[in-house]
Amino acid sequence: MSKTLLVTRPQYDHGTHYLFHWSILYINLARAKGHKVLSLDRNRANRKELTGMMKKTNPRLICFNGHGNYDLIAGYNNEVLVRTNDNEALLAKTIVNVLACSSGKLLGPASIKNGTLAFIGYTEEFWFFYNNQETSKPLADERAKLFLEPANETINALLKGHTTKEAYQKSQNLYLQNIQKVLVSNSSEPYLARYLFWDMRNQVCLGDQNALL
Amino acid sequence: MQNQTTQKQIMELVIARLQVMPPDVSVSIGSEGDFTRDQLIEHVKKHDKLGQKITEIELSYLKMLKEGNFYVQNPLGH
Repeated sequence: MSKTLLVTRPQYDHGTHYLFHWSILYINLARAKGHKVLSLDRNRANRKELTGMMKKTNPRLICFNGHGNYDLIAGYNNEVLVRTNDNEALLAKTIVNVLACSSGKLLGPASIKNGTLAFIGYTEEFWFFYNNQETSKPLADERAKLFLEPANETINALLKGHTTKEAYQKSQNLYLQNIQKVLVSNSSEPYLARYLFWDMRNQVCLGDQNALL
Repeated sequence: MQNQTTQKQIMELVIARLQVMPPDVSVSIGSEGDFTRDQLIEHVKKHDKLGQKITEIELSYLKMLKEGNFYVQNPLGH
């Protein structure tokens, strides 16, 4: 059955530039599976557009890309999109996946209390490394791939029919595989293991563990 | 005095770990911004908020190594 996905894709610094491009992969997968994807790109990743879209379309899955803090998720130019004790009820009846720093710590639990079905995100800063000579081709950046592929695996898994708990586990497994990959003897990137471990350790899946897209 | 020595040793360890990074490495840390290897080293030397975070990550990793959590948990396959 076709579902609606809402994706925020601000693009205004190196970090959001990479997330903008890496989200294309799951957007294409969603469309290939017959789902409707509404993408708030660049300066459209603002609070007014998000609120309007949420009310108009009732998406089943919201994928936030951008920056965040313990109690908020931001959009274009760091405009606050959702904040604790403000508008977290906007996320009610949806599955939320956040690729941003820290919002899993306070905003995640608060949104679950306010009716969000499930919230997958991070409780601390999300770190990812990239090749500063490859920034014009983010999808070709093998260093960034080590971080962003596991991070986005949650969405791929949901799109393939897995529960939120299974999606989280698949993402965790991919982080662990990438940690092991960089630690083998012929790897040139063993220093990345500690940062992959940091992201893996701080990823959380809150709310209904059996929620399905 | 011992605390200061330990802190200095930890700082040297963290800097040594950072120094092995190749020069084409940059890291994105949310709204904190983007940093090169040399900038990360400077923050560790300053022992500022970011420097302390880098140290925390290193110590967390060392603790994980000690606990041996290197196996795939609940493998579901892909």
